Amino acid sequence: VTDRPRTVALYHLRTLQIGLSWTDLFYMREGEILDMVREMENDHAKYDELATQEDFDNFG
Amino acid sequence: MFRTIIYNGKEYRFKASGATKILYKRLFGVSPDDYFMDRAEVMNDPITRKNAEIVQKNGGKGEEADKAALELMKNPEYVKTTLSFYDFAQQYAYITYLEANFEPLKINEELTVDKFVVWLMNFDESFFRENATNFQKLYQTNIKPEVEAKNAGA
Repeated sequence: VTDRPRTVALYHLRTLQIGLSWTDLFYMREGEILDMVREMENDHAKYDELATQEDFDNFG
Repeated sequence: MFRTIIYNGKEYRFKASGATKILYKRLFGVSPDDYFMDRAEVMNDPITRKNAEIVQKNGGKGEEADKAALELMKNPEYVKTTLSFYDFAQQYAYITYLEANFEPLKINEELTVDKFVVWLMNFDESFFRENATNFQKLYQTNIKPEVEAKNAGA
């Protein structure tokens, strides 16, 4: 996760980190790739509060 | 993400993808985003934004629109980004034309300034002026993400 300015080089690096091949890029929208990058970053998101099993049980 | 434009009775197909930005930078040395970043900065000025809205609202017609357009023309940054828009349209058109008409692994051979110039000869200048918004829409649709960032910058 980074605050660095979005450059083409950084975009290209992220596509490689996700594991997309050069040919894959031609069959996807840039927006879809950005979604994947965001989801990768969201894996590291920190939440102030997380639901417990008790919270889930109380849904019923 | 395709767009088809008919010109002089011939059908031209354009395709934007996840590779467009990389190909564009490879040939033209800049990112297609640069134009829109510069434009956004110019439009941050409230007076420029207001004048642009007046021109747009009236379709560039009428005394009020004429006055607003004249004011816009006094702003060199506005003029510069407006002219850059046509450069963007030509350049984006070429990259997306290649993507629609060549196999991914063959495109690199077409990424030369000479081939770009020869391709431009298929059109007169008004084609790009008239279709600039078509390429802007293709660009915008291509880059639009849907997922929101959580803890952005964390």
